Amino acid sequence: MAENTVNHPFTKKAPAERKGWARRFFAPIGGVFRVVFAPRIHIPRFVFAIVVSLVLLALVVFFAPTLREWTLAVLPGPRAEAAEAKDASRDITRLTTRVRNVERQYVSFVPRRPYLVVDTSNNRFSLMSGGKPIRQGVCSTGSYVLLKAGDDRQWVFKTPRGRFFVQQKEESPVWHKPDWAFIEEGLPVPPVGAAERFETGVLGDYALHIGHGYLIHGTLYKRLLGMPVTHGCVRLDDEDLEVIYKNLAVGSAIFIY
Amino acid sequence: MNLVTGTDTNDTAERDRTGKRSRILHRVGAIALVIVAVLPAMAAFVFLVALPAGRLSQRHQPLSQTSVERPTTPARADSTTRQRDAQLSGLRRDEAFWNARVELAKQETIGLAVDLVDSIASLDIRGVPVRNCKIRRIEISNAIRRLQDRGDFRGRISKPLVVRAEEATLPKEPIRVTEAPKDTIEAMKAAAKPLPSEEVDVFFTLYFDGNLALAVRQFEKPSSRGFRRNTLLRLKENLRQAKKAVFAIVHSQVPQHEMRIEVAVSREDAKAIYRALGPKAGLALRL
Repeated sequence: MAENTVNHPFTKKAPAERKGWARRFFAPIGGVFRVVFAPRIHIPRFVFAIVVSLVLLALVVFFAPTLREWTLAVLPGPRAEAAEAKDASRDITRLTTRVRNVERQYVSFVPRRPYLVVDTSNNRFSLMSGGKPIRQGVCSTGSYVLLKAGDDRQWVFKTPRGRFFVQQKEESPVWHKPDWAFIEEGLPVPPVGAAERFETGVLGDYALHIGHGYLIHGTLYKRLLGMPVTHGCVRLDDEDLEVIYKNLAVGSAIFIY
Repeated sequence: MNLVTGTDTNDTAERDRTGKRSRILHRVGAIALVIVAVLPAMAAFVFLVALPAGRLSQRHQPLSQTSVERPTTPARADSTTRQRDAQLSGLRRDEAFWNARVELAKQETIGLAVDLVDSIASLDIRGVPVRNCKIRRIEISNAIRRLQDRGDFRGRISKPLVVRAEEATLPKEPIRVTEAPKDTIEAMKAAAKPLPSEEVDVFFTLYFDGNLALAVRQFEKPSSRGFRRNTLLRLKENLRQAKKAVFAIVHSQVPQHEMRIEVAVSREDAKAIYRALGPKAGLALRL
């Protein structure tokens, strides 16, 4: 037992007897090692040094971005040579004009006639005119449900994002039920054109077609407005729908994000 | 007696010499060990920290375009000159931003315009700002501050930067899988279930070409789960950087410093931004 203690690399001498800065430097680290590993494990000093080296290396590699940021904060910044006053003022005038022109070009992208903006993340809409909202409220958008029919057919009910245009306006719309409408209700799918496929009164008083079978329409389930519950269409409250229907013409832009 | 004493003295001297030699050897050994321990880390520091930082601190060209063409006599760096330079560089950055935004408007994808001067992040669809989000907190990498007046950097941000990768604490699309019901009774049961609410803490990082990363954080204090997810996200980001550093070491390249911008917006805004941006979304940046 006593021999073991004497042979141990970190317990050759009692801490008080240790001399030299290197020993004092390694003493606490060695102490940690002694606590972490079994007290009688013999660790040769070079192995210990390699382990410390690897740990330090890993720390530098891991924190290199932070260290770089700190270094950049300390290093003096590169200063550009100053330009001559006459040239600079001429440049400023020229640049100001150029910036204004590009800004004007950017602003020209905003539609002149009213347009609709739909936020699918928070289920809200804004009817805009001249870049300012004229009506805002809640709506319902795609539920992100992936419906699996069991026969390799599946549908994801999400509202498409991007810019669309009103392609058609319809009063008292009739819903032409697609296959999924029957499948998700556990009903047999009727043939195309069958009378069961047409349903009146469920889409509200108006509908605006935005392409690819997607509509902006009313709903019977008003308590669900503000929630993502639809099959991809945008559902609105009756009053909001009426205002939007009256303000948007065929060709008006719809922005969905 | 004398003899004995003489022998003792010689022995003591011999022991002292041996002890001194062993102490010296021991010290040399200890110094060697310290060098072995510290040298690789020092080398890594020089390679991964000092060299990339040094590169970013190089001198760059004059601000005035016309002054590049002919030799200049550096003017006195008085307050008027500094003010003029600041105005010039600000205008150049503005020009780059608006050019990028116009380019963004020509793309089909939804883009993001981050205006760090006015603290506004805006989602753009074909040139129409559909959502303006107030930026509550901004942290900009020192590297960007150093590079923002360089012509090559301005050139890079005068076109939309494209998203190359992303990390987030929330799914891009909250897909819920539903098996089709077998009959109407099963369908009615499924319809009666309440809708699951999506309460998520929003933290995400977008990595753009040109070695730029935009970290968007929700301004609101996260839940404990959100905090854990955010910590994990940061860890992932650091690991990603470490991987890049190791790659650079292996290929004997000086690693490029990732320029990072961190902005905090409201949770709703952060969610809207993250969900709206497509896989190759563009970014216009105003510094």
